[in-house]
Amino acid sequence: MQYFNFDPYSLPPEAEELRQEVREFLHKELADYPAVLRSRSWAGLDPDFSRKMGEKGWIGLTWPKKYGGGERSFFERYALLEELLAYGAPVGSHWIADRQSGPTILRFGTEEQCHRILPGIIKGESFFCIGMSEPDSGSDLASIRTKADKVDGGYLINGTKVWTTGAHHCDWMIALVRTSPPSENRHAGMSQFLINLKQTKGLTIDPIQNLAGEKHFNMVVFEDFFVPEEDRIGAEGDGWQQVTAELAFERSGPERYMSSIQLLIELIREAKLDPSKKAQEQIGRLIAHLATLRRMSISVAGKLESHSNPALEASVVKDLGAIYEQEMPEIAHRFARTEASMTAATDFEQVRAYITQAAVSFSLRGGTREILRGIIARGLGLR
Amino acid sequence: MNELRQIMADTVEKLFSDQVTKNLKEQAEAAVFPEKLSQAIAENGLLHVLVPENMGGVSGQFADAEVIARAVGRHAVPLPIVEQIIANYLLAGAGITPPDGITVFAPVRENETVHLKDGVVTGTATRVPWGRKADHVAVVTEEGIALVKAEDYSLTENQNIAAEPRDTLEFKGTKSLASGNLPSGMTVHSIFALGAMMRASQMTGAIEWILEASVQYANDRVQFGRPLGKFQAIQQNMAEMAGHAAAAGAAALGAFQAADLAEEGDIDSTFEIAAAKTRISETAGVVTSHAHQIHGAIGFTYEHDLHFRTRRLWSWRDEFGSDSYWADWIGGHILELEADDLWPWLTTRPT
Ligand SMILES: Cc1cc2nc3c(=O)[nH]c(=O)nc-3n(C[C@H](O)[C@H](O)[C@H](O)COP(=O)(O)OP(=O)(O)OC[C@H]3O[C@@H](n4cnc5c(N)ncnc54)[C@H](O)[C@@H]3O)c2cc1C
Repeated sequence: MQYFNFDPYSLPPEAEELRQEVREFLHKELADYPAVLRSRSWAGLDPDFSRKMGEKGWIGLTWPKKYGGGERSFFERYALLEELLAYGAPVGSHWIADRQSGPTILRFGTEEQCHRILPGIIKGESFFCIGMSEPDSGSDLASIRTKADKVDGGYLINGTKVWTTGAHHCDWMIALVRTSPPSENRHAGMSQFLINLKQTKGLTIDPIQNLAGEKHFNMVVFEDFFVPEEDRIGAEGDGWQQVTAELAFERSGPERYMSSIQLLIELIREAKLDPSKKAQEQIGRLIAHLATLRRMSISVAGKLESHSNPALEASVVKDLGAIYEQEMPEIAHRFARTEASMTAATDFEQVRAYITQAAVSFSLRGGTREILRGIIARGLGLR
Repeated sequence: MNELRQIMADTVEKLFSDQVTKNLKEQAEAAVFPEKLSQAIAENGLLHVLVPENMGGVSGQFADAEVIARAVGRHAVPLPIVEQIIANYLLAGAGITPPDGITVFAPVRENETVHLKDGVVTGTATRVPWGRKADHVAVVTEEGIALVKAEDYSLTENQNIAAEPRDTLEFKGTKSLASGNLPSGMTVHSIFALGAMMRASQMTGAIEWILEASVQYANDRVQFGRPLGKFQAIQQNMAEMAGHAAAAGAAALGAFQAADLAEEGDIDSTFEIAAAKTRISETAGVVTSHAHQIHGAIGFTYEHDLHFRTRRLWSWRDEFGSDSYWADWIGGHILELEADDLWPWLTTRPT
């Protein structure tokens, strides 16, 4: 009995060609980009960099040409993402739009919405955030209370979204809200909306500082915020199905095991200065995990390419990836000869300081460990 | 899966499901050799999967052998199947036609040197799988491969945790029946790695069986008025186990696929083998621990089928290089690279 399918895939030559092209671009663009900034991985923000990515045609790589997309394969996109992450490029501005908001609009949006929204994303000019979580609704997303009431020509939205990464610098949010009151069927009565964040009336966005001192996520409050009818994505009531598909995109990429790779690189640099049998073995073990996760992640890309549902396998990779990424600072800590700090003299200690703080979020964001394991348990037939 | 591989998979699955009963495994641990099964396996040509057709084999790929190795692990078959597959492969590669009967290979451990000079073999090989049941041994030396007859060396019996024979063979100037060069492109170390690769696949087979048995047990066993699997604590543990099992499967396939590429001369597959053995040996720890936890006391009995796999996992993860051995090997290789070359290097590896 096979519970999951991790068929092996080799990346096609065109993906490897693109990889080289991306590598050269990054070497040129980010030659002096400091290690500690690289370690922010896809949380690093730089709208100018995103615009350059857009000029290259590297946002919306797989999307239809009629919207400005590249109509290239998921394997090419996979190689592109790997290189960006390996280099620690500041892709945070456009990452969410490229990964999930665009694909959600493409799949469930109207032709008009596609034409209106996607070209801006593709140019690296239009950035998105995810409006799912609320103060009283985290893992239990179906319990959200933010609601949209029908009015002339559209809806009025009231409620609060929270942990909204990037809301303060984004143009749009895709919000999941209630369009009818909770009923017997918990998953009914929700819809997704395009929220124009430049429209300030009825909207308050307050950044929330995280434990590392960064202001990435936000509290977003809606008070009679008007959304026109044409900004609803999909049919009224289809929100839950759509958000489930969106989460599959959110969880399926290489960022789920590559976001602490800068620490591994610095750990290797450090171990080369002060070689020990113990460090060598620990590094070897991490590489064995890395190579295995990569195989599994490429297999998930293969599922996207063949249009089969990657949700279960993506949950497996995300869960294993988070364990692996969270071990990294623990292992680095065991080999450190000095103290980690953001103001330390070495890249190793700076990166270690950053990743040590960031890593605890890796098994929360995008679905917690417990929720992912619940999904896997369902795949095993236990639920 | 190609046609040959599918046929192979179906053949072994049928053969092992029919014949590898609990009784047979218990008997084997009590030193009753499963003669009939051993012969059936030989007659099916499974042991010659890696031998070229012109030497009586099927000219299969490593990925074909993987199907067999995985089934050996899945069914905990108490026979030297992968050992014979490797021995026959090595002999054929050295230009020696594999003899009838059981042929295993030795040494199977790092840093055990056996020498071959003018057709004469000298040295000691410890923990040789099924040495006592072998009719012949393919001896691996820096100087080449030598075929020796069982009567021509002395043997001391030993065993692993799973009661599989692991014997000491002493060659005191043993005259070989035939000798030849190491198969082209191979070294003593890469042959050791082949052993690790086979164990990786066997372990994956055992892990898959254990996962299924554990899920089944979680659904069947009722406590507090509900199947165990309905309790969230159990679901979480089963999910963790399943994730590691999936990683094991991916890593094992990767190693065999790389070994096939290496055979075509494209790459050296030691890294993928090392990664697989490291990753899967670690999985073995997670999986055996969760499996015994869910099974409760019944799983701790000799009566229950579980231990045939878990005891093998505890043995196999040590054999042909433990996780720490191979992790160290990988680490040594990585530390020769510049830190910034890690990623570019990794992307040259086959997936
Ligand atoms: C860095 C970061 C960025 C984020 N960005 C966004 C964003 O852009 N947009 C957005 O919408 N959200 C975002 N989130 C929110 C994220 O999706 C939630 O944190 C996550 O869904 C968990 O919700 P919660 O934090 O309310 O925790 P809770 O759901 O309250 O859970 C707390 C703990 O209890 C566990 N738990 C909960 N329910 C169960 C259960 N049934 N069984 C067992 N254990 C359970 C959880 O696994 C967790 O360990 C972000 C979070 C972080 C950390």
